[in-house]
Amino acid sequence: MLRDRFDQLMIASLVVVLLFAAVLLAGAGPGENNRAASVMNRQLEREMLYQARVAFIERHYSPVVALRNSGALQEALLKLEELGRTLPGAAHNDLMSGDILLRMGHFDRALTKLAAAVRRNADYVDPASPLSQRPLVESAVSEGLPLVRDRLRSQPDSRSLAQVVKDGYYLQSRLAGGCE
Amino acid sequence: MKHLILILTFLLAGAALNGCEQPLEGPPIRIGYMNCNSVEETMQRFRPLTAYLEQKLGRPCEAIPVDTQDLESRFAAGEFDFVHGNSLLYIILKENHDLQLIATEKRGQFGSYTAGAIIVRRDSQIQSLEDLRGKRMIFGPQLAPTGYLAQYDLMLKAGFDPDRELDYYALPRGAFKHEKVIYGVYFGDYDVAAAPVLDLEIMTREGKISADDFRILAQSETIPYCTFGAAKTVDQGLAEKFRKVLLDLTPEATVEIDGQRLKVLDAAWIDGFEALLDQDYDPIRVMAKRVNMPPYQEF
Repeated sequence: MLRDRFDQLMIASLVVVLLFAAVLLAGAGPGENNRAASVMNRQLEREMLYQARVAFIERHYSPVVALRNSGALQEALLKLEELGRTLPGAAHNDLMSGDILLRMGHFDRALTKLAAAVRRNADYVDPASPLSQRPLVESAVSEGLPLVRDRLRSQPDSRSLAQVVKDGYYLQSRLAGGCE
Repeated sequence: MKHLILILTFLLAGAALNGCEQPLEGPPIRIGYMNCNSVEETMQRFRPLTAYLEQKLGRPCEAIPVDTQDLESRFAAGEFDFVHGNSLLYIILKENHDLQLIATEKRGQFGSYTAGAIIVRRDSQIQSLEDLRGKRMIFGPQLAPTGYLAQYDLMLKAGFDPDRELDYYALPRGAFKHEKVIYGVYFGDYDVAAAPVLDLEIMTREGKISADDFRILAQSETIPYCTFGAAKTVDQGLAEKFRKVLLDLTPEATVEIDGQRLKVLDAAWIDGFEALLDQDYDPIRVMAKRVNMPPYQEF
């Protein structure tokens, strides 16, 4: 049947081509490509989301930051009240309030606001996130928590102080890498 | 089967008893509430809280609206067992009538504290307290800690005597005095106003004013907000129970009024209560002494 040399050569060539195709299909298959592409897409989407978030925050909160930086702390708080009308429940509102209240020396209120912000958005304590605010949260915990704890010792029946201490411990645990 | 029926009977009886309201016993507890704007508003705010206290204390409670100016004389006449008023009234009743501190109300950004601010329109030429010389100012009512006392004190501390150095100053009449003060500057009737920070915050939140409308020339330190106190004649056990009910109040607590179930704190415009110490009120004492106001007024 395959006595003819030409036939034998054709069959051998066909087998080589098929093997080559099989290697191509198996070795560098489309599944791997898809996985890699999908990972890249996710990274890209995440990056875009972060950039959009950062841009959104800058656009809406830059007047608050400007007031805060100029020392007009009360005006900055009022600006946040105004923003609360259009962005109710925004985590960044709580974060900025916490920041300003900390600068005003209201440690208990600052801890409560910052804990509310971190509960809504853990990026604020994630060192790798562009939204990270770890130095702010760290200073609220290191400055505020001992003061509130001391006050709770003198008023052990105060539920609101106990709650602030809990908020402080929550922030401490999140800074240390603990989960919800 | 018998056991099951017995258990179910006990459970149902327990649930039924639990659902029953506690019978009210003893003479009524009279609670005086300082009017902020009107008797109607005071009753609307505090009837639910009073009904809640009644349920929790197992005693009939009566809400009595009282004008700020009359509060001390009516308290001295023994008309109230408990009072709710501003923190300057707490100091006056504490110094003159041994009022016991019960709990401090929480509302706004500073919780159980608040502050007074001196404000001008954003486009005003006035840049500092120095520039107030010869200007027209409007204060809140005279017994308002953050509508009058705190601002008057701020000016005295800065070496500015409002009585001598302002062109003139006015006090608003009627209801919504703090709003009138803020609008007085907004519409240009006055150059400068003594505004409670909490009112600025609430009016901004409600969209009545914008944060960009005003500049804050000066702001006082924060001082305790409205306060519940008990007459010295009130039994310590009752005063403690009263305090515990207030401190345990959560935003979810409800009560039925005229067939409607209302949230107690929401209805009263209160975020909660906090147990402050009498010494937390010392900054108000210092201010009242410097401004020569009751209870330290000297002639």
